[in-house]
This record gives sequence, C-alpha cells and structure tokens, in this order.
Amino acid sequence: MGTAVSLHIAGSLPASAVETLAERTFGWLRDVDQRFSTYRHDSEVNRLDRRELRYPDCSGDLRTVLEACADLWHATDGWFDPHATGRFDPSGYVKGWAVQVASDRLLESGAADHCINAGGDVRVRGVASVASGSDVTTGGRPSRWRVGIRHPWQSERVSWVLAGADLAVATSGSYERGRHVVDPFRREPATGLCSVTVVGADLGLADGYATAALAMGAAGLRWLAGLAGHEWAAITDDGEAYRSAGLPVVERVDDQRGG
Amino acid sequence: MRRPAAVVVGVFLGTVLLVGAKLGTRPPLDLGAAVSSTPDEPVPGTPGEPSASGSPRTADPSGSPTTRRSPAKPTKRSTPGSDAPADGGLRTGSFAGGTVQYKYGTLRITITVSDGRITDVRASHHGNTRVSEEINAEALPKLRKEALAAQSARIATVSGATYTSQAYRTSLPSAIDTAGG
Repeated sequence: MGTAVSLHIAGSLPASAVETLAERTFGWLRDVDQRFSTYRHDSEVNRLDRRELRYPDCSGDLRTVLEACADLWHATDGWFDPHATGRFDPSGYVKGWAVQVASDRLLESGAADHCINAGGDVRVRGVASVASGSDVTTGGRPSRWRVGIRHPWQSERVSWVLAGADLAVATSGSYERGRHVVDPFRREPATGLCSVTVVGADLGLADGYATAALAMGAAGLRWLAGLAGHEWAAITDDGEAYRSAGLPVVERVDDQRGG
Repeated sequence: MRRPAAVVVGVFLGTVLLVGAKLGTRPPLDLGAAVSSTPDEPVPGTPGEPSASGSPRTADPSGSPTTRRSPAKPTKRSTPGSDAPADGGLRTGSFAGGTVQYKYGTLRITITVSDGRITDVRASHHGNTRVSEEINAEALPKLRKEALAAQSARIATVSGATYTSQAYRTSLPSAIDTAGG
C-alpha cells in the first residue's frame, strides 16, 4: 500500500503488552500489504489477476475479500468495481478491511481503547487516553476520540470533527493522488466530488461505499442520502459541503490548538 | 425564415442534437444566437409543429395585438409546447423541458420566452458537478448542505484521502500524532 499507518493504544495496559500488540498489528498490516498489493509482482492478488492462482487455491483472506467485493459491487449497483481499471484491484476495500481486522483483534486482546489510521482510513474504539506528561491538567479523565475529516485543499485544516467511541471513518478523495478513482461505466476518472467520507461500524464497507460514491460523482450525494446504517460527509469539486443529519460531528470545537 | 422554427423543434425533439451541442459539436450558444438573431419575427407555430404555411402569423410582435400577451407568471412545465396559444405565439416565462437520462447523466433544457420569442436556452447538465441545486430542491430529509469549514481543532487523528508516506510527513496527521504522543 505504501502508506503510513499510525496506531494509538490507549488505556492502562502495561507498556510491554502495548508493544506486543503494536508489533502484531503492524505485522498483520505488512502481511496484508505483501499479499494484496497491486504494486508487488508476486502478491497473491497479482497472481490471481494473472490467473496463475485459481480461486480454490486462494487464501481464506483473499476469498473473504473477493466475496466482500462482490457484495459491494451488488450493493452499489456496480459503482464499486474492483475491475474498474481493467484489472483486478480490490484496494478500495482491502485497506479498510485490513484495519478493521486489526482493530477487532486488538479488542479481543484486551485493548478496548485504540485508534488506527492507515492512510486516512480510521478505526477508533473506546476512549482516547489523555496523552502523556502535561495532561495532568485534565485530571486524567478519558475523552472521546476525535477524528477530523481533512479539508480537501488545506492540508492543515479539517472540514468536520467527529467524535465517538466506536467509529469506522473512511475517506476517498481526489485531492491527494489526483483522480485515481475510475467511473466503472465510463472507464474514465470520476469527477464531481472531491471528497467522500463514510462513517459506520465496518471500515472495509465504509471504504468501499466511499469509493463507490466518489466514482458516481455528484449523483453520489443522492445515493449516500439513501445509504442505510451509515453517516457520511461529502465535498463537491465546487467546494460545496454536504453531510448526513446524523453525522457525529463536534459542533463546537472550542479547545483550539494554536496553528 | 424557417431556421428559427427548425432550431426550436430541435430543442424539444432532438435530444441527440442537444447532447451533441453539449459535447461541443454544436455549441448551445448557437441556439440562442440563432433565435435571438431574428428579433423581428416571432417563433412561428408551437414547438414541434413547424409552420408550413409560409406566411408569418404575425409580422411583428410589437405591432400585433394578437401576439402581445400580458406577462404570464413563469411556470415550470414539462411540455412547453402543448399549452401554447393557438395563434402560434409562445407564452412568456421560463419553461423547463423534461429531464432526459443519457450516458453522462441527466440533461434538462430550460427556455425563456419573452414577447413570444425564445430569448434564452439553457441546458442544465446533471451528473458531473452541477447537481447541487437539484439536490437542494429535493430537500432530502437526511441531507444537509453547509459551509465548508476549515478548522484547526484538537483531534486524535485525521481521515482523508490516501496519502503517500511523504505527504503524510508534511500534513496534519503527523503533527497531531507527534503532538498527541
């Protein structure tokens, strides 16, 4: 994936346990990258794409991904299309899925409070610990995780701030890597929306839905408005901002950080 | 002059023509220009019914009481031609054609009529960037439009489009992560 991953394990686990969990988490994500990256010649995904690998010989994880991609394709009327670029590329689902699995495993391992961010796809659970050192000023009380949604053209700013104890937040956008999401029907780069964020309980699904809505262009707004079980925010190429009424936004962001 | 009539017929019947216009083979501006370049002659006949008589029904709208109509309240209509006055004039106002689904989205034509003449033809093309007005009008209960904010808040992390490792180092998340420990 060639992207940056940050992991924040909060709570009162011993440092050694945190280190072990962190190693395990990054090990899993590196493993997914090895097997699912379209940039690695010998990845499982590329071998499947070249038909060197047959479906029955795929790993359980790859079969899970294939089935999820097929479900997403149906759920989005074909707008989420792992073949949109002319080859099999499940990246629109894999990153979110991999982080979701990592988060589930952390939860099972007793790390109920954590935040994982893999290249802009975020999974938070539990509460954010008040960080180290000077945080005695807050009396050490736990606070909700706050997740910003990046402003498309001002990389140092956020358009919305979300807060919650159990959020999967996936964003697809054209402002970082250009118009890389392809409209699967026209086979051309999608235009109309420059940023789509979907919030739900499963980061893989949220990732797939966000990718699909971005591919739809402005018509994606209407589609998002009918998306059950998820909240969302979107910004058009014109800079117009839309969001669902139930998006868990922090309306008053009072504790500003200077600059 | 028959040309304006033909153009107007094209507006209402010739979706393909308009698609072509949208794609640049025939700029929409030409439509308006063709119509408005004959200011002394009203558009004969109802749209879709080109006049074959050859005799202009009115020589000049400003001089013919039969075509002078008090300005009607602009209304949205899906079939602008069906209710046109029998004398061949067009009602004053703005009239929207039906929405047409085509390969690249939705197309809707709106004409503006003044004194029996089409003074403006607009094609609104939904499917790329200009759908927001329509979305607003639909007033979907779950959808909110709001000003695009640009805030600098205390947050744990940032959701955004996939960035490269290099971009990550120079953008907000790294600052937050570093500061947040």
